[in-house]
Amino acid sequence: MNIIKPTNSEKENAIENILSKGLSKPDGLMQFSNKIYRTLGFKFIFFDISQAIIMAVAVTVGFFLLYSLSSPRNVYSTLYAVSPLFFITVVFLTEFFERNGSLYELKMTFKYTIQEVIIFRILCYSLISMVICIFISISIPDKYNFLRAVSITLSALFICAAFTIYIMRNFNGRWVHFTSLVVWVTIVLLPVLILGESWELLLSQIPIGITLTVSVIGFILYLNEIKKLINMNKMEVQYYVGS
Amino acid sequence: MLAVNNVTKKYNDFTALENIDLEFENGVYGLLAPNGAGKTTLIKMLTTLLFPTKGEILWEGTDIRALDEKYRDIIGYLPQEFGYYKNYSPRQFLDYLAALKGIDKHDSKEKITELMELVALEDVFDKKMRKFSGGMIQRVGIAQALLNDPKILILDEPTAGLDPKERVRFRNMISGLSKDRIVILSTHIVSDIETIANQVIMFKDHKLFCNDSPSHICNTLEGKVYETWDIENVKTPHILLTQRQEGDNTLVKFATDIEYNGEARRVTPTLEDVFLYVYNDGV
Repeated sequence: MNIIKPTNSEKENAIENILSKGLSKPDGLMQFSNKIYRTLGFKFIFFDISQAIIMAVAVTVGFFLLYSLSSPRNVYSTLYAVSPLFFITVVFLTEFFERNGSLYELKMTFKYTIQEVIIFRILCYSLISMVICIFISISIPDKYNFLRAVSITLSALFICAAFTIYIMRNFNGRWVHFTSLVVWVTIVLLPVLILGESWELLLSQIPIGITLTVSVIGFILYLNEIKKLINMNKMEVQYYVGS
Repeated sequence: MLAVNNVTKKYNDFTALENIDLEFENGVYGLLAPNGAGKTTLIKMLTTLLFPTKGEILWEGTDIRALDEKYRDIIGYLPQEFGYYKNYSPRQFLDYLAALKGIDKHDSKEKITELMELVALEDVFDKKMRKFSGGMIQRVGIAQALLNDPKILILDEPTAGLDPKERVRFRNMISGLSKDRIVILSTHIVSDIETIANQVIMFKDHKLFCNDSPSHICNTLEGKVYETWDIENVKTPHILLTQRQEGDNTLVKFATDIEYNGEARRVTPTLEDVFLYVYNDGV
């Protein structure tokens, strides 16, 4: 009996076809965002967290005014310190309210867990923060370099965001969200506090190529972290130790 | 079928549950044990809030962790302490939870109206929950657990805060719901499950103590339970179960492993008697 044997490429195609039907592919960034947005819409994604957002805006504006008024000449270090502040504060506050809210446990048992909603919120917060960075870089006086300003602000934002997400992804303690504040103090505030005027001098004289490269690397790190966060398995709600 | 296979849960050095084997099919399962026996740990593993340290939990043969959202899509859960948003009405609140459960907007509206009628809250559908009583909040909790028409309904101490009338209504509702789904009901209140549970699951020393029908469990104490007006004259080693005041006298129910021939009447054991007998050291 003559049996027509398939070629190697036909075999590979058949295997690929079987695998594509049997395996569920991990969600991409767009696919994930689309799924969450279509199902929940902004109304439910940001349900009952307006208090946290208002507080984050107030903290950012307050810090910016205080810092810029106390040292009006240190423009670049002010931008560096302020740019990730909205992101850090809003992530911290919304996480704090969610995790300490009485519905957290229940929301972790739903088809779309609050963990997934928080990831989408982080995406939105980072986009808003990018817009804030660009806006404040445009609004600085003409004698300062726009490219330098925007690359410094975005570098600070992306590095802080990448570290915050890395910690959220790898640690699951009850107070893990506090580490976003630690990240901001360590990466952003410490150089300003320790180096003072020298930090401003460094930021104003460092070649723009370097600040741009750092912001691009920061962006890539941030994207990688957010992709890993999206496809991370659901975490155990660890602190429910008891009966 | 939902199967718990050789599951152990440890929190560092503390073993909350050890080598638990259970199978659930449609019907009401009552998890009956005193506080701290491991009921809530099992419930949290069944709802994917905790993961077993050893063993596996399977739904239709597949690990529930691997099923991920597909499994969460078929469960309804009412936690022991049900949180809610005080400034929202049941309609707004359930609308939000329905979205998180992935229910289509159009379907959810219909379902929410239907559930509000089921839990008899249709009159306060648009009232803020700030002024709701504990029982009303608990009924909102039951409604949210049923939003996605779950195949597995898991209720942790669901009757806490309900008055006697509401308890009866709750039991009737659960009986109706269990015809085409698994209902797992955790409680330390015997009367909650005595009449409605097909199977009663008891834990002791963090291990499975028994998994049987209420009548079979009651039979294990057959011939060992007595009632007397004169407990002081009962010299045989015994365990006091309950006492009831009638006029100036106290009718005491006790259990003894040795046949008692004194002035006492042998009675048919109830589930509460078994509970008090089994967990005697903790009572």
